[in-house]
Amino acid sequence: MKKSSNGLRTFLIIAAIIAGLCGLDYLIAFHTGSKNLAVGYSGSSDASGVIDENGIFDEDPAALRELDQLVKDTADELDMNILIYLPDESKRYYSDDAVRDFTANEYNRNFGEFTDGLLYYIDISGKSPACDDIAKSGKASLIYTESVCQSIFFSLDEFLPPSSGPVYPDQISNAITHFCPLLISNYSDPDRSEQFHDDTADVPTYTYTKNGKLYITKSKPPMKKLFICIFAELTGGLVALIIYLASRSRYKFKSKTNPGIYLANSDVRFTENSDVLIRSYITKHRIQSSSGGGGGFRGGGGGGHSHGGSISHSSHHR
Amino acid sequence: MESVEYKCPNCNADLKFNPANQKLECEYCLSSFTVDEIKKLCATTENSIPQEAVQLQEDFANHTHLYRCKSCGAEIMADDQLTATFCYYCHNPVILAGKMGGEFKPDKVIGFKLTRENAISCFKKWVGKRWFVPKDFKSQQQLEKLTGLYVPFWLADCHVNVDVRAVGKKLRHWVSGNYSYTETKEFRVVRSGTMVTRGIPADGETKIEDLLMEAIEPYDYRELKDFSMSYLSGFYADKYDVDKAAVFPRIRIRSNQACSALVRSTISGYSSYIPSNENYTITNTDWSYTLLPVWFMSYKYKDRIYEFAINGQTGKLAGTPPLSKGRLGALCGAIGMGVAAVIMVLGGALF
Repeated sequence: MKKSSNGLRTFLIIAAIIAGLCGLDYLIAFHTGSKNLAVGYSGSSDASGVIDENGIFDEDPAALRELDQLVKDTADELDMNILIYLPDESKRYYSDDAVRDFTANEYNRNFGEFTDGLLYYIDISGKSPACDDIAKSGKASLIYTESVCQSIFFSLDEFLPPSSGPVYPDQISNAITHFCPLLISNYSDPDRSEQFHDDTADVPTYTYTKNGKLYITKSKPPMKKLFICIFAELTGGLVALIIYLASRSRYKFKSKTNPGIYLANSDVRFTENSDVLIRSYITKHRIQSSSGGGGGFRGGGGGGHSHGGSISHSSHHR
Repeated sequence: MESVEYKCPNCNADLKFNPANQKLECEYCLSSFTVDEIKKLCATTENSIPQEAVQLQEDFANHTHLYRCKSCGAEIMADDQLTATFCYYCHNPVILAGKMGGEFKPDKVIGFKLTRENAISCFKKWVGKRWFVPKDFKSQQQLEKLTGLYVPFWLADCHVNVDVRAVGKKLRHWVSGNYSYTETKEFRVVRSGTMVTRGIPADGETKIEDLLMEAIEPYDYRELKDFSMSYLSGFYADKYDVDKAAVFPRIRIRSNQACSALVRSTISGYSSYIPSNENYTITNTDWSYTLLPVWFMSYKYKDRIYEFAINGQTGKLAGTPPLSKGRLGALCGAIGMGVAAVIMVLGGALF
């Protein structure tokens, strides 16, 4: 009777601890978030369009205006800023990281930090290989994921010129006129599980959705926090359990006296104490020769870069 | 018609003749002897108890009182000067039960060398390393329960016939060209002879845990003295309630362990060792009923009795300390929470 009440008491204590931890986890995960930095879309597509730094449409400004309008219409339809950037030769020697740094800063300069939108950098600077980049901010980071962007890049490859070849306005027009519908067709509400962490920004941020609303925060998303809390509690519990068991083992009776102390050598009389060789044999085995081994290789990462806001990138080499 | 009874040389129980193997067997300690062996052994046995021994037994019976604990049934022996106060096993009052019978007179005794202060000092040192014992376990009140107790022990000198046969293998490896060679040498290993394990003790008290008494061994038998009531003055003493036949299996196991360890220590240099025959037969056992000094303490915590013993001669201490699970749990919980908090902070869950 007493044992069962002790068991019930232990069970209730454990249940209370687990309930307390669950409550604590909930508070930490869902009520300790920092300020939402997301700005969203301004509602105006004025800043959207095409920047022809390269001057490839200098001969045909009407075509540029047409493309510009197409981009603005797409921006309005998708409720996000869209900028297409055609770089000149001065960016020919930009490294891939420098390109990404440039696009991020260019996006922020045009639309502001933490807004919804993207900048498509079509590398016609003469850099080889050409490094196209889509810099995404806000909800675009969650919608146009890496796989979506790569499929867009591959779709556009057939319209864009090779990196070392000449560039014609028609090629760019075709690419842009296909790019905008691709943005529309790939648009979908951000997946709840999708999140993005920009650790290259001046202030690292997390982009995620909660209850259908976009959040850009300096603190981790709630589910990530919840995971960390559970992991921390499990680790802490494991450490506590190990210490408990190790300490408890010191409270167990272990000492035992070796009975060998009751047998003195003087009380030992061997009538026979022999080690006689009875047989000897030799076995041999062929040694299996083995060869192999090999080298490894190491891949190197690019250098870091910094920018404001929260910008993700998808890059592609032509 | 004259009736003849043969006693087991190991435990003194009656031997019975087994027609199947034509041997005299002991039902208690499972020893067996041929008729010739028993005749030889009985020839050296004295059949009558000397008159001086009878006198000593009567003196012992007249000057010894038996106290019985009504709560746990423990029987405590003390001289006629002692006023018994409490049972050192369960801490209940004990009452005078009667005179001690002469058959419980011990042969030998080792007097207390460790004073009460020394014993308390040993205990404090031992308990000082354990943080999670209940607070009152270290209290002065608890230390006052430390009792000087003469525990009844059976000391056995076992004469053992040893016959060990084994095959030992020595391996040698080398490589020549594309081949690896292994030379195996097999040896027939024989160790046979006689050994005598001397003074293996076994407590004859059911109330005290056997392992606890084994843990405070050894005693220095050079200080064994013939029993005298004067040694009991100021201390408690127990009478045995487990006879030598009952303790013999324990003795036999320990004797065999000692012999086996010694034999194995003489077999070395082999890569592998496969015994084909390992016989350790105790042919004869000499017994001595002895009182050995133990500082004893029991502690009741959460319906469990914890026993501690300190060798009253050497100061060796053994026992199971009570564990305050609440205190240990609280500390472990605090450490666990600290670890969890550090991980949360480093993991960025808190901000």
